[in-house]
Amino acid sequence: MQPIEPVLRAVDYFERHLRAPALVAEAAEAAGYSLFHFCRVFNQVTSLTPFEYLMRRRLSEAAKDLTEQETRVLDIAVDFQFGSAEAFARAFKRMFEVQPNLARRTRYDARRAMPRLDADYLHFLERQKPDPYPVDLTALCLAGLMTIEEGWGLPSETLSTALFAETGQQANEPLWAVIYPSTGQEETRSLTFLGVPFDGLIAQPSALARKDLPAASAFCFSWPDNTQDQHFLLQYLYHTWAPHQNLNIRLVLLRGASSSQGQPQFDKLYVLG
Amino acid sequence: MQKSPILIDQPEMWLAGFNFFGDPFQLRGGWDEENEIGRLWQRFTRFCAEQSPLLPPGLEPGVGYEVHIQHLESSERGEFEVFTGYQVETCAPIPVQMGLKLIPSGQFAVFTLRGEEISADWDADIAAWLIENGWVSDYGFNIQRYDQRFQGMEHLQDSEVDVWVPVRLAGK
Repeated sequence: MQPIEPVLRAVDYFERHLRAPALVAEAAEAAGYSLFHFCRVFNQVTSLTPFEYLMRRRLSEAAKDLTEQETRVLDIAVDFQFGSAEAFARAFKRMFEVQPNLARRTRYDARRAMPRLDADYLHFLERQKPDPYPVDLTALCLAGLMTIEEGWGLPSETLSTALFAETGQQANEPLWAVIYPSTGQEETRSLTFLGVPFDGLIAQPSALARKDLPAASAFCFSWPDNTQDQHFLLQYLYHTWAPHQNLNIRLVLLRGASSSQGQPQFDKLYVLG
Repeated sequence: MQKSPILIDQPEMWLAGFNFFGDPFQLRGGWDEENEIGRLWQRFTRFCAEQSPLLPPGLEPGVGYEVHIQHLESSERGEFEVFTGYQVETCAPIPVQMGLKLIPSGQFAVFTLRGEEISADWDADIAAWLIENGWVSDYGFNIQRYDQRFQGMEHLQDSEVDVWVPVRLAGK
């Protein structure tokens, strides 16, 4: 594996040039590599090309400015080194699926934004190598509870406690979380369903809702134990993996079981586009 | 890397093959057959294997070239042209799917890379050697020459590759 420090020096160069002219060749120099080798190493470590990282960082910071300031779109475009408002709007739409003017009024999906890459995240990529494999999921019939969750939409303790109180869930019994990344509302919120498989032929417990998921093709990732790694995986999913697959994440499933402490413990994450 | 390269005067050379332009590591970084360079070689070798009757004869059987060419976008965006091919007669007729690349005549420093050196940052090592020894390479390309000494990506340890760098003496 490649050392991370040279890549972090290049990241530092890019961060200092988000609002100034930047050259990938100068980032390579900051890393201490030849240009060609730098491109090879940067992608090996980050799963992004250097120029892609620079552009995604510029657009992410520009998105913040759009929603937090009154500055004209054109001025923001120029500030972040885009040649014109049109070029900026095209790039912004590609990344956030919304025009800058609309993002200003209705906000944008911040999960698509690229944060500054740091050592912890890069070590996570090195450790986890989040390379999914395609799977065919069979149809699922679940009984459970649904709520609106903030951020990534991971089921909260309140939701799991309420579900386990209804189902009398025992340790090691299978459990699924179904996350709809967007509620269609302005804010970034997710609809999250937490449920247990049940035989659809018998009546579900009255306090629980039923959810039928048809058979579908999905991509499967290993779900890390560590909370920080879980967040890194979700970040990677939204700002790197899905754009590379040209995939709009429609549904995220987590598969697991209840732990002996009465907590959900997931081991697989499935993404459906 | 051998510290003292061999200097050669190379007449112009015509290569027939395939090219790619962009970031060669967009699909995957590192040394990986699934990055753009690996795929370029796969495309080239498959075409040569399946369309051999259409191909012009090679001047050096068993020898392949990989040319890295810098364009204006290289320093700005990290985008390069990569050309893989084999040497043919001047202006040899080629199938429409292929391209011809003229490598200009000139003086080249030939460095031999062995084992781990092949996947290391030899570009930087060569640049440092040239500066130290009063040479300049500002032609915007270099060439890797693969022959029977290259055993494949899985056997880099036992492999050798020659890198040709066009050079001139500093100040000339």
